[in-house]
Amino acid sequence: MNDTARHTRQGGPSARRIWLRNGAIWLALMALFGISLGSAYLDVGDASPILRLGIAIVQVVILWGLFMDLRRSSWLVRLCAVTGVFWLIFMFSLTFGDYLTRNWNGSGTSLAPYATRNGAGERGAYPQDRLPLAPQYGPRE
Amino acid sequence: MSDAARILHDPPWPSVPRQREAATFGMWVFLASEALFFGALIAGYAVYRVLYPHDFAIASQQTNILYGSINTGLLITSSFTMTVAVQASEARMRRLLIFALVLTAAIGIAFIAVKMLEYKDDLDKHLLPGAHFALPSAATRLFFGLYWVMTGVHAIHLAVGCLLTLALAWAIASRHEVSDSSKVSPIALYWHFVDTIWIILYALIYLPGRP
Amino acid sequence: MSDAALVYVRHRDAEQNYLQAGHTLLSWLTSTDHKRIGILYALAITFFFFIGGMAIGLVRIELMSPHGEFLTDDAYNRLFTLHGIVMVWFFLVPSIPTTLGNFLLPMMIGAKDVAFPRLNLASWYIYIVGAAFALTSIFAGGVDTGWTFYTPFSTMFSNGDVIAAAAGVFIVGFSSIATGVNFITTVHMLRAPGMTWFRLPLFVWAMYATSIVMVLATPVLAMSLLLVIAERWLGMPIFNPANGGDPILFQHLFWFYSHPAVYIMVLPAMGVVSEVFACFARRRVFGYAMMVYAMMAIAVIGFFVWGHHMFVAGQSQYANLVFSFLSFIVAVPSAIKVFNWTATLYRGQITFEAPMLYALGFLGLFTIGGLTGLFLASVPIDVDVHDTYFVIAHFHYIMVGGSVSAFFAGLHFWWPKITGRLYSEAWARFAAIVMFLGFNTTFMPQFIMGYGGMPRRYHVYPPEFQVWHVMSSVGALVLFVAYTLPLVYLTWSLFYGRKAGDNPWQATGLEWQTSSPPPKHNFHDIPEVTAAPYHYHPWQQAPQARQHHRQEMQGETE
Repeated sequence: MNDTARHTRQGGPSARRIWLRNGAIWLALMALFGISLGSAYLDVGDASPILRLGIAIVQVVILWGLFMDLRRSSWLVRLCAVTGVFWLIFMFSLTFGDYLTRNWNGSGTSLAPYATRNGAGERGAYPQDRLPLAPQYGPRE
Repeated sequence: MSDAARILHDPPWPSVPRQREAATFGMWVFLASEALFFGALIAGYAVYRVLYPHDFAIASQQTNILYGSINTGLLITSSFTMTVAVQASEARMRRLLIFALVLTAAIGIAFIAVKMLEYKDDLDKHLLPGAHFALPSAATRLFFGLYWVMTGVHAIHLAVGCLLTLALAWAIASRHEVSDSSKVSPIALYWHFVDTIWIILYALIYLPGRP
Repeated sequence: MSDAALVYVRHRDAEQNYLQAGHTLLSWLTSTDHKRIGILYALAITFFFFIGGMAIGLVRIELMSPHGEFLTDDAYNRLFTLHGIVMVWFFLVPSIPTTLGNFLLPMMIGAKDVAFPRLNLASWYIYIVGAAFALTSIFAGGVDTGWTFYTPFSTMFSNGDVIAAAAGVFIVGFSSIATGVNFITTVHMLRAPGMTWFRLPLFVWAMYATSIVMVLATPVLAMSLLLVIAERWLGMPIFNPANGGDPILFQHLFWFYSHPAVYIMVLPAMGVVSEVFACFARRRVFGYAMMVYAMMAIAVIGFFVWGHHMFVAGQSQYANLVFSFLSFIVAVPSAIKVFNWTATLYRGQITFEAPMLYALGFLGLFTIGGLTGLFLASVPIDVDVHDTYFVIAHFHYIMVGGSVSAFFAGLHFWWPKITGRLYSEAWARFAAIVMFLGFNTTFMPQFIMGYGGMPRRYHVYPPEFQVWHVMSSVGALVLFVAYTLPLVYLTWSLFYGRKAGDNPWQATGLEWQTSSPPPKHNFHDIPEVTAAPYHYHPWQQAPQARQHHRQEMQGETE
């Protein structure tokens, strides 16, 4: 259950505490932003997208955990929050499963020599032009 | 003056805490759908980035990192002020709540103003895909096609957030809503989510290809 | 745990029913009562059902001749597209959830309304706005892209009003999402005391699972259509191959929604028939827990199989492998459910009222549809039958033979509750049988000609397929009769039907413990639940035969 404690004006945090407590988190987020921006100009090579996205993910975790109060939320709310993320993982992995394997061209199977598309197979053209036709179709013209 | 007399729970809710819990939960469910909405867009971007890394790096360089970074700073700050609003609402500090909500919306409007300046700058640099597109290679047009959609959809979401925040601030100021209204938390969650999207978009759009 | 079902108090004489609380049109259009909103939706989807039906009627008349007698190619394309768009998004996806779901879900869990009643009303208005865009597109001559909006045809070359059609579907998607958010929150937060998760009726579980799918899948459709609109209207190159764009990317995004969409269309149907079988066999549902797990499994695994629509589109062979395997897996929970329904019927005290006839029709037709889905999941077979009538027959067996049958089952089952009237049982049974016969006459020949190579979306075809097309068209005419009959006798019953008692079927479930029609706030006091669902008979005993007399009625005898 969401334990939003019902502070009264007397018993609860003062305005100053609210500003300071959240200001510290704000500083952390701005610092990470600064690092991300600065590192964009450094030549870190291939690690660059990982670094930038990694920093973004850390910022998001801080934002979700502290500003969106997931740290104090019920397990149900947290489940809701991660479900969207999980579904994105499903979408990305299966979609990239297509795109990253498009050039494989039957490698690892017996059809590799007949692979087409990028002409990777040494037989070159589409298999049905090279393999013999089934008997009922007679000789190839 | 206390708001106690005005605390009523709307049907069908059996109690106020339950209603508040449900409002927060319902907004999280909606945010899951929003994550998929933007996620589909980012998936499209990711696919093309993997297919055309060089072109995307060139195209990224053309984005205006000054405006983009200012906007990131603005939005992070707006999340800060929105959290202040939420905690003020929990503590029933009415004036602080209204101030924080208005400040948040103001920062959001500032973001949109900067965005409009940036769009004008992009148009001047002929970065709208079409007949006079600035960059030679084909896939850079894909980058910018997605850029306009991504930032545009985000800006629309932000504008809606500003409207909701101002409406809430007005409702609390005119005492149509109590200061610990069950509407504060969902609107804040929505706002933070829009900020989250921007943080990710910033890393994807503005930062690549710089050195 | 005793079988004493409920503890609550009812003040029948003091309460108006929901139909009497406000007689003006404005009271209906501004009502946040979930029951009235369910009826508003019912009127809207009925309208679109007949629009979509008329479109396909014209198609089927055209197809009786192999030479394309009275439609041009373009007109034909626009008609089948209209049929697909209207039937999927404006009829099937909303059908059971927004009508029966809206009406019954709060009552079944013992709540006074859904979690966000104003959002519920807003969702109906969003539907209406989306429908307005779709009708605009129809009046502008329609779209010829197929309901699947494939790029680059839809973005670059089509001459129809793609933007209006896509915008209509985009908007109505948010109605779906709103309904989903509402239902999920309602089930989590508003269950009556004692209504634990595993005491929920399976219809509620079905609504819950459907809502999860609606919330997570629909936004991806929305984005895919937004990108189509951006490309076509604003000129943003996204799927244009000349710029390096990949049309298959559109298909990935589109089918990421559209495959789970078929589960949005079938899960509610599964919920309805579970209720109907239990009642008319006087049996607890066999394997309740497995039925729940199966529905949740269908909802989740259904997200992993979308590539089976793209086996021949240009996807990689390895992706084909993975999607094919996962598509076989997703059939397993559906099969478990079919076995459990059959086991529910076994040694039950079965009576053949109209809802039961429709539900039995569902059982057989859904099974045929599901089995043929397995053929399609197999890549070598799909390579031959993709884009043929085999596919059309497969999905119509599930969507029409399955979902529409179940919708009618639910409509008849809960009609006394919703309207307080009894429909004519004789006419209803007749209509159910006519529908079953008409349906099979329409779609079984389509399996045969599809396997023989008849392509879909063609109105000029080789003459050897004509005999099957004629059979199919005659069946369509029979179906038209079967769908019109309920419109007539159900409307008649509204005015002249005998008044129904609270529980004419002697069914279990909280909705039957309140009056027919229900009072505005459903229950005078929130009930407390102490029993499992479907307590038709004690746990380890066979059911006793119900006293088989005519439907109970208030104050009159037959």
